[in-house]
Amino acid sequence: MNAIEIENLNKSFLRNLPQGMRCFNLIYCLLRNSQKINTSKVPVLVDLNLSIEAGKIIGIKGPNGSGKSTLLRIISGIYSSDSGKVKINGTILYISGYSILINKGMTVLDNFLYVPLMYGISDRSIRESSLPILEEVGLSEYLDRKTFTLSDGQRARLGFAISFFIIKSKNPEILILDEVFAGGGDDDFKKYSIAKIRQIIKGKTVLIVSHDRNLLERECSIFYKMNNGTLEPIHFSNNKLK
Amino acid sequence: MTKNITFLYQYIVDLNRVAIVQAKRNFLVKNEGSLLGIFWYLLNPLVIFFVLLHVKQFVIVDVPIYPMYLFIGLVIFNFIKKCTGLIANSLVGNASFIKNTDLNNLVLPLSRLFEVIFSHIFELSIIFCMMVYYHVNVLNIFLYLIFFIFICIFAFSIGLILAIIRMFVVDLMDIWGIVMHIYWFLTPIFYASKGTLSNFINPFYYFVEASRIILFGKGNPQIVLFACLISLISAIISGIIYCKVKRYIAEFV
Repeated sequence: MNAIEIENLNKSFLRNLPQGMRCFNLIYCLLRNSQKINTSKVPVLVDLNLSIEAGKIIGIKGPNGSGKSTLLRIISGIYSSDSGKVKINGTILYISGYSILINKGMTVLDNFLYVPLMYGISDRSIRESSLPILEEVGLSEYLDRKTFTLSDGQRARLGFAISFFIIKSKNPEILILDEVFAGGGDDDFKKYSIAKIRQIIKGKTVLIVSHDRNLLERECSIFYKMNNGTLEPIHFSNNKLK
Repeated sequence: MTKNITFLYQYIVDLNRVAIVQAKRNFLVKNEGSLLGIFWYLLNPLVIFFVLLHVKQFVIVDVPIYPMYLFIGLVIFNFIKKCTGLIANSLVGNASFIKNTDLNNLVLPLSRLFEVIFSHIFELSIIFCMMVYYHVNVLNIFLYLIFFIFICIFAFSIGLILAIIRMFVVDLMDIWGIVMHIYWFLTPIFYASKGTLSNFINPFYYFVEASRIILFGKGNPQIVLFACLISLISAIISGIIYCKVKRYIAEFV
């Protein structure tokens, strides 16, 4: 059974997003029917097809602006598609970068206590797990420190601890990881975080977007390259983690 | 039908749960380490209150229990002003949250509303003390709490419409600031309402006046009904607009 099925997916964005308009300029342009409001579009995904079998780990690589994140956001329901079919069989969790939900004005512990709450994880479970996980990522000495006083690497560790806990608790059938292994953190931490993620994704359908080709080759069973809005299969391997 | 109601109920419960967590987060960050703490929220209305009370000696205002009349006007107007201002920035100001999580983006404006409700509780405690001091029936405050739901709906709806327009118009908040400044003078906050045309076409007038009618326990109840009606109409309009644009919000913020 396929966990994700995408047929003829198309998505385009406005060439110039209209956010920059000032109120009176906008009224003036609308009244004059001016060409200043550019409504031409740039295609980002073009007739994209993709089927992902349940339990497979898929990697996607591609240059900046090639549409990788757009594809993941459409799959997760954050963006809507212009046309085409997207069918998802199972619960889905989208994680983009570890540090997105961290509030820099809060302490390390408060961040850990609050962010998972937003994902509907019980307060009791969060409190029980907070100290062991934070200790494991080496932040037990910084529990009362405001997050803005931490280094980038330490913030990445906190972000990882939170994301790891959310993935573990929500236990989704489909996991989407968008550039989560980029950002701060030394090599040891990178290895540690990949090993931990490897533990909890067993049996799940996982879609990983990364610029790290070695990582994708090592971890994924199928590996695609995003090019001009379409996906090209690059590398197949039978001896990959499942 | 039952399935739909259960789904809607669960949707609202989930939405409120996340919004309350987000509001608590904002509240914590804002007040932690602040010397005045929660009293900071009272400082602004109290300072304006005493200034206007002092100014009163230069103008003739024929209103019984003027301090309470003035404070209610101030608090209600400020509540709507603060709500609309914070909610209007809640989408554009949290673009990263909207683009990078699959959580419902309605959580952001809702959390801002809860934040302002927290601070309104402290202002309400002062109104309660005034009611005791001036021997006004304190039970009226329970009626007010019911009406307060309509004030929240109105403030949230206007804020949400502004938040959606704010995605396209970068200087909207400057213009809204001027509009609120004009309404500050058009709304009978520190002067007696005379039921003029400028009052009747001013939606803020209905909410300020209806709150006074309920808290004082006397006045024209039609104004309260009008306020409730305005609140429901604004909710319907904002709901329609939000449903039309919600699938594009992540792209435009």
